[in-house]
Amino acid sequence: MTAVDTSNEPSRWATLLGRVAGNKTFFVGFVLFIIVLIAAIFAPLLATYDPLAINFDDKLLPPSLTHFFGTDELGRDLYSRILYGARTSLMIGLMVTILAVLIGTPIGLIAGYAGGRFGFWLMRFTDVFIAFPPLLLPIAITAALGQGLYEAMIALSISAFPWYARIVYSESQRVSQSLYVKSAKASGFGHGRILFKHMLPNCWTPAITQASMDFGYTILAAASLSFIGIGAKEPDIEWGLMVATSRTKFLDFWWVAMMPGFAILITVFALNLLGDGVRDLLDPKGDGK
Amino acid sequence: MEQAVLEVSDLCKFFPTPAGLVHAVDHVSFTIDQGHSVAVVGESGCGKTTLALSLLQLIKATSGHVIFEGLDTATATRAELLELRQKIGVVFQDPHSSLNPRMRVGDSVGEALKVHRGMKGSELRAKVGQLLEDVGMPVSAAERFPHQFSGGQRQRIAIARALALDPHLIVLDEPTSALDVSVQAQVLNLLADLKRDKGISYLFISHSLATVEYLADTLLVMYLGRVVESGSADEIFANPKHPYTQMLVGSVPQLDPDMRSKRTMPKGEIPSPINRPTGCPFSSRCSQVMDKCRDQVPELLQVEGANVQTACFLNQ
Amino acid sequence: MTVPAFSVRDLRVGYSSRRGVTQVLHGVSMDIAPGEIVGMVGESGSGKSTTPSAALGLVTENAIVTGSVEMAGQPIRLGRAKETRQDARGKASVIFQQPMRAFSPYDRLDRQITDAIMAQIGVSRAEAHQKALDGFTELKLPDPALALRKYPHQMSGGQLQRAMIALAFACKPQVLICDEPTTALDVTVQAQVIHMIRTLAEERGVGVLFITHDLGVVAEICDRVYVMYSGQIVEENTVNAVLKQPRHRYTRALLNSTPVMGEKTRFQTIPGNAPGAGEIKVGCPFAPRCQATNDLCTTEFPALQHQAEGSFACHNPEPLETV
Repeated sequence: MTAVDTSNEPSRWATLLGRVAGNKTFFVGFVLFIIVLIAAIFAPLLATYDPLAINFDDKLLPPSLTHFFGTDELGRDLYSRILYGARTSLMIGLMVTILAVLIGTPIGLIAGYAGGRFGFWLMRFTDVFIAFPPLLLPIAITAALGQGLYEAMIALSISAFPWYARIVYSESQRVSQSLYVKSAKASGFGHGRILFKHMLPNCWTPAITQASMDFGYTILAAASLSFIGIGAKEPDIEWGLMVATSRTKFLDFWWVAMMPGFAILITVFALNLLGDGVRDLLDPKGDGK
Repeated sequence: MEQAVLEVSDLCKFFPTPAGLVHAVDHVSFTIDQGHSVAVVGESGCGKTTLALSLLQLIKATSGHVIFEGLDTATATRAELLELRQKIGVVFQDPHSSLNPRMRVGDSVGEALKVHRGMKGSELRAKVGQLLEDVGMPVSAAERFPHQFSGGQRQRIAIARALALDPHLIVLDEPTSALDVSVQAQVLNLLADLKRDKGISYLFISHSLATVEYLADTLLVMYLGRVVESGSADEIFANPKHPYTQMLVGSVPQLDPDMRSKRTMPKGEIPSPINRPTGCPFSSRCSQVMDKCRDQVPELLQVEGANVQTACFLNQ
Repeated sequence: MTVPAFSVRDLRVGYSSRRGVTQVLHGVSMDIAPGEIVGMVGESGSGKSTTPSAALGLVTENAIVTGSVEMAGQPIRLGRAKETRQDARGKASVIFQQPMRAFSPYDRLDRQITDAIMAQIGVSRAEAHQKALDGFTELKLPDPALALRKYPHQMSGGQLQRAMIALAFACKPQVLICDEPTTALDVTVQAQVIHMIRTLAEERGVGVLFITHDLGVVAEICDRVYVMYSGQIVEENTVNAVLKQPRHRYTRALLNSTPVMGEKTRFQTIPGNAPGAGEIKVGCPFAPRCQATNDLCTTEFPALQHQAEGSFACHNPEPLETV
């Protein structure tokens, strides 16, 4: 490869934006995600009714011009509830993923850098959490902590962090053997500097990609927990809970389950597309194809 | 008096493996004088890279001493070791993985100055620019990332980084093996200039005799962890004494097609370091092998009338 | 004149991408006679590996290949890589630089080699196995029957490269392409491998295209040499002429920068870097790095001049010494 002329190189942000626009899947995911985000942020402005207002006169109305998505069995406006539900879901996804990344990344990073027996046992410890079937661990943890949205979030984080630890570990093992880490050690740099300046930036790409993929999965998992009755509880406005409470009415009144279900689908789909795109964008050599 | 920059005595590094003990570095001793360069040559598996890593304190030696400017690394305190690290630079073989891909070149080159000398701002930028110019790179390179450069340019950057703290010794681990010939020549010339201008000592590790010849004052030929021949590079190149060195020298392709027919084919392959032959390690491939070579290990001894030591019964 | 084992006429290769077509090979022509070992030297990016890759269909789908290739008189279709591979099957074998990567780590050598022989020349498994065994014996792999049962990681790089050569010759090719086969090997092993390729090629009358960046290796094995620069052949001649009396300034510069044992002098270097693929320049592609340019060099592209004693593409060639 020959060197390129830097004189007229566009700024980092301009190149990044250019890459975003050039990547079609990412672009579609990005647009969908922005829609969900707008729904969440501007829910109070966009909502046509109070999402908690019960009105038995209007219960189980089909979608119409007055109730865009219809109403549920308590007569609450589904369109308004779904807007507010976006807040809950995005918050759960974000908090759980951030917490899991914050716990998992340092563990994997340190285990790979330290290596030897210490690294081995650190990883075996995290493996314990992977040994449970995916939803069983959160169920057990919520059983211990009690039911509720925040308890569910903590439970989901605990069951998710080992995956980040593992992903980062496999990277950090490789990176810790790289010549630039060797030369940093030979230069007498401290462990902290090597870990954060040399290892972390070269290890986190797969974790970030995984996080953006998991974002969707987490929303799904949180919805599942609510659905089986150990996550969000009334009066929380949560899509999974909305599907759950409407499940007996589903056959006669399709919109009560379909509308929140569709909201989950769109959000998860958007986040998955976004996740793929993030991986391409994080590659310093990639041209974001 | 001229002080030795580095004294290595009886250095050993053994690796336990399930199949047995690997004698990667086996009682190696040598000295590097101020402004001199020592080249270590040998085929893959001869222990030359392990030697470099133990000198850099990146792996712990099994036994023996590494004395850097009078300081024994085995008994040095942490602070002393840290200071020592600043006096040794290193350039690795693969220029594609020796620079952090996510750090700008200027940050990589200046990192040690920032950490160990507390330099920052314009002073740091000026020094980094100076270092880049010293190795023939434009100052603007500092703002760019490693993947924007060719292999030869990256190796220059790696050399600039190694020079940052004005080291007394630079360990060069196959610095030109991954480069094209024309680029290799540029890098070797650069190293020679730096040695002349700054009086830096080199430990040059290579599998290629032809590339070390220009830079080496002293040559160390290793075979399966042992030094089989060492001494004045000029004398060894002119008249190799150990049969292995002869084989190595004889295997280097010459630019003259007429030399082809005169070549003797090297015999066999380097044995696995786990099953090292008893006696002289080279006995399994030596064309002049004697009975005692198979059960006695020849010591590294001075050859009479030459500035060379060999570990071979033929020369004793 | 005998039919050449490998004949290439005006081979051009470009890679299409969103940014347009990047031309990496600008019309390469060459002939290799049966039993002849022809070297192809150049720096990375000179297109020396692209030539055989295109002729064997080992290029990616977005490559545009034009020109003509014949192996032992048989034309090879170049339009699509798949057709090229079909036509070249059984006529050409390849040996790569990294023997470790050429074999799959999950299968015994026996299976990989017999499968490859069967696919290439369509013989039964038993026959293919026998050929593999014969090849191993001939290449002096210690205990050939046992060596065949090993996995790649159980062998050294030199042994694997010999296994690779055994496989290559077992397919009875007309042409053997060696792409830097000794670059990853130690010098003593390199000497052995070179010797084996040379002996076998001469015995079997196989035409060999030997790609390397090392002029020393060229001196060891080749009869004739093509020097590549920037996707073109810039000089062609017998190995003695190229190494002792090069005409092109680039060849001379390359020779001067090659480290030679026994000459402890400062290297003469070629300033600058080789141009990247697709950089369009007027005049001679080597002119920006050349020490002996004249006015013509920067304005007019030098065509390859065919002369009785070799060809070269230089406006201001090295003068011939009168011996």
